[in-house]
Amino acid sequence: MGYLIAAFSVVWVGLIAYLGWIALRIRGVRLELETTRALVEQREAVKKQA
Amino acid sequence: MKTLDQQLNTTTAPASDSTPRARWLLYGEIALGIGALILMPIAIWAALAYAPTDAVQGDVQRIIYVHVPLAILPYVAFFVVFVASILYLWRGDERWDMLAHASAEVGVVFTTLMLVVGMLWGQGFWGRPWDWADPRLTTTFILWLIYISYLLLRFYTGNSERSARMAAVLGIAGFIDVPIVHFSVTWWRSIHPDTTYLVDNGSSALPSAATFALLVSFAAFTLLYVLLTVQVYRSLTLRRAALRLRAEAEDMASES
Repeated sequence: MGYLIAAFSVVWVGLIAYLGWIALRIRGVRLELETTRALVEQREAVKKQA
Repeated sequence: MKTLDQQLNTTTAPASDSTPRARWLLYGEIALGIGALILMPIAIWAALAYAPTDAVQGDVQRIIYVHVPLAILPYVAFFVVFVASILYLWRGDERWDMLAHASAEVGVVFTTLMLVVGMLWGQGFWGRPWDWADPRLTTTFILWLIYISYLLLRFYTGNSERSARMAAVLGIAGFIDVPIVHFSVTWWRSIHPDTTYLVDNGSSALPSAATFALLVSFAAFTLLYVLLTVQVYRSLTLRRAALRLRAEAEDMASES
């Protein structure tokens, strides 16, 4: 019974942890994208003014 | 030079979630998530309570309900890598490359979990977690190493076209091991059960309740595979969009 519980725990905890890690990766890269986007917009505005 | 909007639209990542395509994708992902959330507890209940206890192995045999789907879905995942890699080399569209990358990552996660639960099952039934003399175990370990190498190649060689082409070649060549893994139990003597344990003469060799538990579990893991692949694909598209924008910002800085 111990091996069965260990197997089910490894699978479901592992998959949920992996899903959470992907969500964190997406959030991090979205943040990076927004920051860079703001920087490019700022530089485009400066370029237009010049 | 492309404008900011053009730059964002050249990626497959939507600039915002307000476009109809992005909304439909979001609805699809929500449906997948809800489907997986409904099927997961049913699969666990069917495996642990509904399916009958095996007369020979006892409760440890219930590991089959996670082990088999986790063994079959990497075949699907690596087949997707194989096809997407061919299409990338043929068409040069980076979306195929990202699909191959996403499917390989999820395939490796599933293979890792399958190996771990297989070792737990082996320890519970055979009294040892691993046997290097067993062809199924050894060829599966080689498969795992091939796709770990694929991911390491991608990680260490960056996002260049050359890196994507090298990975595509490995993704195509690596698939050779999939039929070897599958037929290893029939080609060579093995302590691992062969496919007649599940399907014999075209029909299920398991009792109907066990077949139901296996099918529900397979459906839950399939939805999870699709959901995870879509999520990884999304993270890769966003990452590439961020890298392109950063390069543009650096170009603008050097011009001014």
